[in-house]
Amino acid sequence: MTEIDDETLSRFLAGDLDPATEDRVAAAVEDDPAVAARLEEMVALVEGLGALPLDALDDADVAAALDVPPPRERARFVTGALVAAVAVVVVWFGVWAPRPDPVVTVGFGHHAVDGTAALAVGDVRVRVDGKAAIAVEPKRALRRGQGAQEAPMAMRDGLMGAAVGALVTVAVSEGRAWIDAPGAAGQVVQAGDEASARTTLSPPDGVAASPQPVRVVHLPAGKDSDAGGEAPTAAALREENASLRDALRRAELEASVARSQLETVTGRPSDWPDDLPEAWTAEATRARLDALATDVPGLEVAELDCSEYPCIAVFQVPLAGDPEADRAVMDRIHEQGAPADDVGAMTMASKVEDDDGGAAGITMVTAWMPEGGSIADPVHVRTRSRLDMLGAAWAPEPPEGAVAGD
Amino acid sequence: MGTVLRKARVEVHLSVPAPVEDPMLQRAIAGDRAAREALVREHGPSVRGLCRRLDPEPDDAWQEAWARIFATLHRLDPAHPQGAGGWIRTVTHRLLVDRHRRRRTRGRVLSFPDADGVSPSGLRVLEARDQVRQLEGALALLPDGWRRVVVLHHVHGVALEAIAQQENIAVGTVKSRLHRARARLVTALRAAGEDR
Repeated sequence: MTEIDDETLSRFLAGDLDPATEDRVAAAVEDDPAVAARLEEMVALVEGLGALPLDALDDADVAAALDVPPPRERARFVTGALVAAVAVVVVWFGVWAPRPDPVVTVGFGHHAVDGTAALAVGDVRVRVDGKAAIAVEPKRALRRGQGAQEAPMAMRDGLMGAAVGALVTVAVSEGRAWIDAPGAAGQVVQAGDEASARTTLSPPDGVAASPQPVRVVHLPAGKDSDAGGEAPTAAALREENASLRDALRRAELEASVARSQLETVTGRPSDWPDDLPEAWTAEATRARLDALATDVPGLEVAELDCSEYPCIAVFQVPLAGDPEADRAVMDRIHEQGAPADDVGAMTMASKVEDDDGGAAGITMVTAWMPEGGSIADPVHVRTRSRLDMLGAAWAPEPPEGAVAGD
Repeated sequence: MGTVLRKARVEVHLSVPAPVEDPMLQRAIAGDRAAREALVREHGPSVRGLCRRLDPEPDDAWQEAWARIFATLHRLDPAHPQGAGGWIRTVTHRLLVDRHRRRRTRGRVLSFPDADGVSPSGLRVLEARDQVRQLEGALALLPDGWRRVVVLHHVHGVALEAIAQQENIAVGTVKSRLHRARARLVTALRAAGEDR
């Protein structure tokens, strides 16, 4: 008599077997007391699961549930520091930001923005879309003469070491910057537009005596003759800005090299081809693999990643212990899961061991690729990298106490 | 096939839940602390059990679950097949799946409750505390995806179709996980019985 395993008994109990198998199991339960006893154990398990106790709550649990901040505040609190840290890196290294960032609070120092970013310096908000250098200097550090536009601002607590006031300098070399500050709200500075710089620098009506915390530097090079009495300051600022731009260029170069190195290893995300046959789409792939999982007993589609072309599936495949039968199952996965006949498959597999160290199953990470092409093609490089990442994510945990390399 | 799926999604988005008529729920939606406390005390044991069995950081999951429940309480569907409790379990389930996906590491929950709360009917099967502990221990050693299916279906009575929808997998996959998990559990309990 063919052995009836516990999974089959579980399916029998749930009525999830085809009629032929169900008849076979029913006969076995009737004829074989051992099978009947195992079925009883399965019934007891199901009843036992249903009888597990609910958790008791104490007052601390209730208080914890009621007093937690709502998700938005919580997320803002938890991620605020992370976002700020990441955004500051973005600012410093000149990596293109595809959309406006959250406001990044910056302190003393020089900040180069390339792309779109919003910075907060005390009461001053600076949003940049283009390239700009923002310098925040303590008042006492200024060596240059201070004109009306360079008066210090009182800084809020939290600005690094800013107990004595600071001066904010915004220099826009490309694009534009929007500045909101006490006495200079809503100012727009356009690179290459001398008038906009002058407008921003002029104290607004009625607040001529107020501190003017923002200094905007217009960057067209080699034009200090029109600055009149301000020429020495303008020259110094141009020199400072040139230095900042050099730093920005170096940072851009470093970031570019780092990106290139990363892309060499991981490839770049592959676009979905415009003329992709229906069978390759995410919907069709999911439907095909669901059908496959239904057809192959015990097969599980653990994950389907269609975030990029091509889709990659993670299968958890039980092994019967018979190499030929197991090989047939894997061949069936490759063939039935394929979107067409003339395709190849890239697969990464790892063995799942049972408690005794035997092979209980295999985790297969598989991508189907059109035949042809080179393994050096970007889509192949990228797909291999995705396979590696998914394979690592789904790799079975090493046994307790195991050491890498065992 | 693709067209049908897209249509189904649109219908889901356009469906508007009926207004909540339960006064206590209305007050909870409005932010009344006493009403929310009553909600926690009524449905908390179920939420707590899900968090304990399905998340390696149950205290954190518990807080995040209630934060999400209260934040989305205005969208509570009174027509949920299992009432407010079912809706709360659905929100908790979604959260736990989100946390699992974010985590990407396989955690296990190895804290066990006191077994004093076993129901009388359960006592017929689970006659002693150590049997509860054995079952909880065997559950804790299941793969995360399997354990979610078993706990949601058997402990909390969630339909397999609903689990498949929340997990975004086929019902066949849910059944596969369920039966494989039950087979593994019964094997583990059998071995534990032989050791006694």
